[in-house]
Amino acid sequence: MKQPTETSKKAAGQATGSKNEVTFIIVVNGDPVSVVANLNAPLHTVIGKALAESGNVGQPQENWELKDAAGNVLDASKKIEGLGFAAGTKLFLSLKAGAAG
Amino acid sequence: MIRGQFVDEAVSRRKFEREVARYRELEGEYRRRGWFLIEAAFPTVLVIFASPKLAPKTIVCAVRLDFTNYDLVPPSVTFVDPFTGIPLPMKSLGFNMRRLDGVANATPQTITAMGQQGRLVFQELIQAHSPEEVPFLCLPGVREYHDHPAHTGDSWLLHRRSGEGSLHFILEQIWASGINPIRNINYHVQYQLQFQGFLVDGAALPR
Repeated sequence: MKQPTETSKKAAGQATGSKNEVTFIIVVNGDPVSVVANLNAPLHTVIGKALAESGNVGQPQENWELKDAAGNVLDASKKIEGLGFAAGTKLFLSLKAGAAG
Repeated sequence: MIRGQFVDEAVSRRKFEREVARYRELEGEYRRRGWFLIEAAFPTVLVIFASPKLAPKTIVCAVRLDFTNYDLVPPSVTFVDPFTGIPLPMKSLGFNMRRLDGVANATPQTITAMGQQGRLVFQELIQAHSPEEVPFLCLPGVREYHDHPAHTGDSWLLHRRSGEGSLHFILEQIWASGINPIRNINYHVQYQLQFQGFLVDGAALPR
């Protein structure tokens, strides 16, 4: 896993020192990274940060899907605060499979 | 020396070990999904998939990934008998991997209703030319897909840096399209109980 920032070390998956921030663990194609997000921002803001942090820059952002641990695709347009993630929640950023068959 | 290995073996071994180490880091999460990595010795990994949503908890399939020549060549994927490790023919597989076509923006309720009306269009991701043959996973990032004559225009080298072809990516596709949508087991009772297949939630299939 990439080394978390000082902020994320203190509170991975929880509110950070700022009351408007939260730190997520985002598993990018099997590689967990720590990302700090603004609670008032839409969820898709964490996607670009997680891709940059993990070095996955070869695919455009729309080729990725953010899912919960159960595999449900999350609505990335929703505000983070309203999604009610519990402390320590891991999210999974998965590459959409290409055309098959 | 691994048979058929033409890439510097040290390179493939190092990349293989990186893939396995990444898996081990998240092994607890994967186990909760029903993934069990039971063998990892270069160049192969054997993973068993169980469905935690069924009662009793049920093994659905096992898959062997072969990382020979990785990652100049993507992993080979073979569905095997979880008890013997022998490759299974299509007729003995017992489950499907499917993706929904044409419903990218439909709600789960719409998909459920369409399923009840028999209007869903599926794309089968596991292919074989006959029921007697060992099937292959027809997906970019899988060796058999890129080696197939129908896909000569879609070289692995176009995908190699994309994240496709990693251990996580391939296992995630199998789980998302084949295991996670399973909700029940279908039995047929006639003199004896006969397994008929798994019942899946169409709304949980990838689109």
